[in-house]
Amino acid sequence: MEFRRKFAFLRRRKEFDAALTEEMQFHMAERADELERTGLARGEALRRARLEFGPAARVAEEVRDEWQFRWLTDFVSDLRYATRALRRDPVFLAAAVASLALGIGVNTAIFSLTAEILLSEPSARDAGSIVYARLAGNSHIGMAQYRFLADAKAFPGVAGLREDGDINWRTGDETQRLFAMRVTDNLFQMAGIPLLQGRGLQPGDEDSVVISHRMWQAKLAADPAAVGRTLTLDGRPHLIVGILPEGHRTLFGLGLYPDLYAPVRGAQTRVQLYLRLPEGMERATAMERLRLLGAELDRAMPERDFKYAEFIRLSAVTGVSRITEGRSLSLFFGMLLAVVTLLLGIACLNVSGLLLARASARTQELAIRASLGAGRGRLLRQLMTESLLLAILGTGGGLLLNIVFTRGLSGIDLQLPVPIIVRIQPDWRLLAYASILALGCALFVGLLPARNSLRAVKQEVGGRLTLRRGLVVAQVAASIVVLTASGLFARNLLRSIDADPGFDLEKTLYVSVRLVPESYPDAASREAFIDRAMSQIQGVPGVESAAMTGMIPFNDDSTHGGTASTDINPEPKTIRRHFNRVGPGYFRTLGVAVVAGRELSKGGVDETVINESFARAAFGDVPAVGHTVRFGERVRTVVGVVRDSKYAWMSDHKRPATFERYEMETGGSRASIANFMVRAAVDPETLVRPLRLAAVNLDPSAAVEVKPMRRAMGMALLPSRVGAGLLGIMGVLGLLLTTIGVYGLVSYSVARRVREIGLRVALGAAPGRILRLVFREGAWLIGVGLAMGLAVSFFVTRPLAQFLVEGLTPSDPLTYVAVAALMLAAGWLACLMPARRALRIEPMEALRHE
Amino acid sequence: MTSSTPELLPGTLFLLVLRTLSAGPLHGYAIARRIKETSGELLTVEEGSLYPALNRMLVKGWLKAEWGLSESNRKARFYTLTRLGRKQLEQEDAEFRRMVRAIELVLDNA
Repeated sequence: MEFRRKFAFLRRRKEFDAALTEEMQFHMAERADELERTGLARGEALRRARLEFGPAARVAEEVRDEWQFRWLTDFVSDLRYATRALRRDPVFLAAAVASLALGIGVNTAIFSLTAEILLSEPSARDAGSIVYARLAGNSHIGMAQYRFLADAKAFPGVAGLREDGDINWRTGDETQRLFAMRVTDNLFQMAGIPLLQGRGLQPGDEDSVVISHRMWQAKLAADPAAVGRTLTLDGRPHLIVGILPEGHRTLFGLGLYPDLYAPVRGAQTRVQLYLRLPEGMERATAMERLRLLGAELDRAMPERDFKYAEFIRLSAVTGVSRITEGRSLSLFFGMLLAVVTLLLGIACLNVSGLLLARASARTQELAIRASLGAGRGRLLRQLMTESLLLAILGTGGGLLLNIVFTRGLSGIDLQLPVPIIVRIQPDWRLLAYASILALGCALFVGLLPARNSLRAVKQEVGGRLTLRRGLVVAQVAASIVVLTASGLFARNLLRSIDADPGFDLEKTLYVSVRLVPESYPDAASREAFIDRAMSQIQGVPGVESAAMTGMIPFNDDSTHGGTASTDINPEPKTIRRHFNRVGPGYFRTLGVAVVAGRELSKGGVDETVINESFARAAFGDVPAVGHTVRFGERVRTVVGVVRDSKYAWMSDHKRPATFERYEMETGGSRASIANFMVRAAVDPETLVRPLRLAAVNLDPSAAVEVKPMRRAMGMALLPSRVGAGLLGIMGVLGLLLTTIGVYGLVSYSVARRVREIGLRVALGAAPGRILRLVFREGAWLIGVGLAMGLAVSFFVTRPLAQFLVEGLTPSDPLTYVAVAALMLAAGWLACLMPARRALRIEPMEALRHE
Repeated sequence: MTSSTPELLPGTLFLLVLRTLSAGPLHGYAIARRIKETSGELLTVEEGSLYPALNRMLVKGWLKAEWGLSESNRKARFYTLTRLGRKQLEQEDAEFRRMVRAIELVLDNA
């Protein structure tokens, strides 16, 4: 109650002051009346009344005090004091705020990125009650099974989504491949996806689409009448029924951003299952209900290899719980956050050092305040207010930098095969995080110097330089850790670029043709197309050879986890392997050596080619050619063994792989896509246009993409590129901040020893000796910090192993040597200026110093 | 202000103001007057302590303040006892009397 009344006062201060003045005036007037009645003249009576009342301003001040929050007024006066103190020292202010702003800017930028990728909320009504469900551990289920589950009506909402699909858009003479998310026709209603214009997809919609804001802006020129227009998609007119708002985020998450949503077509598609849970239903209850449903499904549509009622998983589409999904992604961002936190620590240590240096200049001022009666707590609070002010200013600057950085991050084109858009916007999460950072920084930065100052007031001087040295050593050590991480990623990127993918990158291209599925309804028509395409492509001058492939290296991936047994070892063994379907001549085209046997033939249904790693895993030392492998029910004869190569990622290392006869897929994300690998006898870039023309001529309604493999490595290099880029920036920043820290301390210690140095010079010390004096100080700091930093790095960089290419380990000696050399060089630079200053000291002047 | 005016016992100002207001709303000047009159001109409440005290009691919720017209037809701020204030008065009154009795006992018998 008291609090509320005081708070109300805060809001009505002006009125209150006016009323108080009036009340005091009234008091004096009444008193004057009374005095007048005793016979005084009016003027004299008023004068007397005023005199009796005493100083009205002081009374008013005391009255106001009754209404104020004591701590608040103290805080305000501290703040005023701190502002004045900081203003007197603009160089210190600028250095401290810049350090903190840099640290906080980078830190919050990475936080924003992490929050966006790992924690972003999908655009849906009450996303918290939507879960992504997996049965039998499968990420997707067939449409028939989906319908069975949806028809059971066990949940308030059941919908399906296929996250990766293509659709051909015919505009004028061009055919473009668009990225479409296929959804069951009830998904928009189930999830309650907000729209900018028009409506969502509805049950019964077949040839309707909802387009993204970006598609609307970039490809339809923001046509105000876009809703109602028709697009020719996969050869059929589709009606645009709605446009999504700009900030739309899919249920799938991770920044995946389709050009449009279209209804699922055909029974072949497999979809992700999304459920809306009834209000208040526990996860465990929902799991149980789904398990029962799965058991019914097992009875209705039994599967040979698995049971739907087993391995049921429900995961949230929002919040922290979805992170557990992508473990290595979380680890990567965890590492980034750790690194930026270290970086912020380095920045804070800088400011701490600066504050300590300042504290020595302010001992007197504090002593005076203490002798005037300011208590220890009061002084501590005052000093902390100063660091809080610094932290707030630094955070302000950091948030501005955050906007610059995240703009930059959002603008990076990742060259991925799927459209991923990271839209980072400042939000309440960022503000909350930044506030915590600011408070943490204020404490971190201020506490040590403040305690030191208080002790100095009580005449327990000393220890200040030791403390500063400790801070700089910590800085060097932290910066070594950051540098090691960035060094590892930089080495990794270099290695990845140079790394031998196991096939010929320089001479190959891919041609990817997406056909309109309805135009090729049966296997015969598809095969006819492929035959025609092969002869066309091989006919292009400069083409040495060409082959079909299901997957383009470094752009697609598929892992099969099933068991394999062989005719010589019938015990089934689980071998996780890459699987691809390829045409004759595939290995020759890519330049992958066939070490035994031959390539797949065109008609060889039962043939398989395996790589060396698979051969070793399945057959051991026995030559595999001629033997058979059994994958579940299917039996294949090994006709050839090929050298290991990289398939999807640069970090693929001795990854088992098997290949079978090419067949165009008719369901799923790669449906109706014909991929050709082409080996060029000339520069592959010169073949891009002719190959494109050749493919377009075959079928104008097909969407064609041609790229030399050299330029198509986006996915393969992504982790190392992103890692090296981000960590490289942080390594440089950390080094810079540390150099400034070392410089500050060495300068300070030279300044302190001006008399001593002057004396030495006067006594005839050679310049070399003086230099040694200065550099010894720096060398000592760097040396201790270096040793500690390297030791810590050795242990904390362990988890990075999974991001590094083969042959590169987190304890890579070259990286450590380079990091140490870099730090030594930076330290030398930091000592250079103070050393020159020391050399220029004039003995006579120095002795007069102080 | 004569030198024979005794100092207010510490802590009694609130009690005196509360008691004075228990008869009905008064403005600040009238409160000071009334205390002086009823004490037989013995007690003087200084303005410098009266107004802060009144405001402290407003913060505590013992008093309410309203603007009205004084007898002299000026705008004046009238203070009224709240229910909380009345309770406070009873409590402080009882406490004070007990204390006085105790002091008297010591003075008479020690």
